[in-house]
Amino acid sequence: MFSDIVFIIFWLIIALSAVLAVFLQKPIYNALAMACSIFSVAGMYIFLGYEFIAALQVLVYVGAISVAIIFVIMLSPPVTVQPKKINIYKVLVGVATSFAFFIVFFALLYAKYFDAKFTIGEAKGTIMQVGYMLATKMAVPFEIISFILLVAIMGAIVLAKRED
Amino acid sequence: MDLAMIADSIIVKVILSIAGVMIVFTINALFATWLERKVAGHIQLRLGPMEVGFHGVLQGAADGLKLIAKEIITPKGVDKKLFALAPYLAFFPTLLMFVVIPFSDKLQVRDLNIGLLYFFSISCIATIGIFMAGWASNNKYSLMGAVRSIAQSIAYEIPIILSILSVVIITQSLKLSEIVSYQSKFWIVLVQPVAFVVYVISAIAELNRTPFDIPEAESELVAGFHTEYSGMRFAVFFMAEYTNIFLVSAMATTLFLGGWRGPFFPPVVWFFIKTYALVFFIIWVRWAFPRLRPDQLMSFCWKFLTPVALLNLLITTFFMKIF
Repeated sequence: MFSDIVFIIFWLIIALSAVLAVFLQKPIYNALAMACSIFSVAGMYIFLGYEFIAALQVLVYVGAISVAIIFVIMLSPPVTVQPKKINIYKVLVGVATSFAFFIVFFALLYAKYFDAKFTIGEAKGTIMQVGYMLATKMAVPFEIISFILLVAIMGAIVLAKRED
Repeated sequence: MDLAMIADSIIVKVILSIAGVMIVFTINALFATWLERKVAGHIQLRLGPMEVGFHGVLQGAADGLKLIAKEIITPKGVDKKLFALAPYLAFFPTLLMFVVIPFSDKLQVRDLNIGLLYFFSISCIATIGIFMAGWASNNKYSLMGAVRSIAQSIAYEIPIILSILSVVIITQSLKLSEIVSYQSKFWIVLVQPVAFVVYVISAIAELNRTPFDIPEAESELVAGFHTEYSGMRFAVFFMAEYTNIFLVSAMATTLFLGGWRGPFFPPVVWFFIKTYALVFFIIWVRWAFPRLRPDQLMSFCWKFLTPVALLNLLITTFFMKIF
């Protein structure tokens, strides 16, 4: 009962701030609403018992990525968003794309996890599991990701250093 | 209902925890500000506050009353909503960070499995509050201060995380109670002196204090991101700053200095002795060193602290594998 209420509150915060992140007029408000939404998703992870993922969610997405986005907005010249004329074609394409995305995602999750039961606070000791998986089964993808990140960092440095 | 059941019920626990955190927070805010002014005074061959109470111990309370009584000014041209929200967003993570601090073997709000990670991930929310303050003030000094502050905290978070990672590798746990119980024979600072030094330096930088206080350098930026704030809203930023000094020192105590362990005195006393020794050190550094230039600050972090922390991590892993 109590946990249902908490779940619904988190759900509402996530949905509401996601909507605000899209529809607010000032870029800075959008970024802050997005940070709020991400933070509430971390709350959802805690709710499911994935403490480690939740902490990483806050550390990486709120602490680093949102702050980086905000930083860019802060350094760019102020943008005034005028209410644009609504292009019906673009709206249709957008709605169709997001709907298709939703269907694919939902179908995948439904096919794979329909029978699986998730109970609150079930997952325990996830740090050990994550570490073990990263060092054994997922070692190759892990190395590939770190290599891609290294390339991305080098690319960023090259772009920043190029003078033209 | 007998007493044991009352003490066990979850609501009582929550209320007691909140009360405890508020008490520690208030006493620290009063004591740390007094300590700062006293240390500053004696370093500069002055006496510091002497009038209110014995050697000015109640000066903080008097200042607090003054700040509460002051008018809250909202300057023209600020973004009113963000301007009002920012101090609290910078402040509330500091209270949340108290949750995992082990004051003694029993005095700890929640002994989370991911305690260490929780502490550092919550601390990055405060950055957004600082940024909001700087942006909403609509003032170039505030904005510059906020930009510098964010750049600095993002940069110095990396050596901090790397240095605590070598502690985690030794103790094999992110749970703070386990890290403390690991140190029953020796303090981790004895095997990880490099990590300790890197941690303290980066922590001072994260706190935006001299010699790393370019976000609030008076001579160029007036007061940095809180230039436009006055009255209680300014006080909230101020308290957040002093609470952060305490929290950073408390974390250093837990990770490197054996936490609440010590002979003769009760654990809580030892915890506060060690923590305030570090707070004193951080204050001492402020009044002993001049300010760095922004470029020196950045190259010091990226070209010296981060490689040193990485190397330390590598050596730690190597020795852990061998022994």
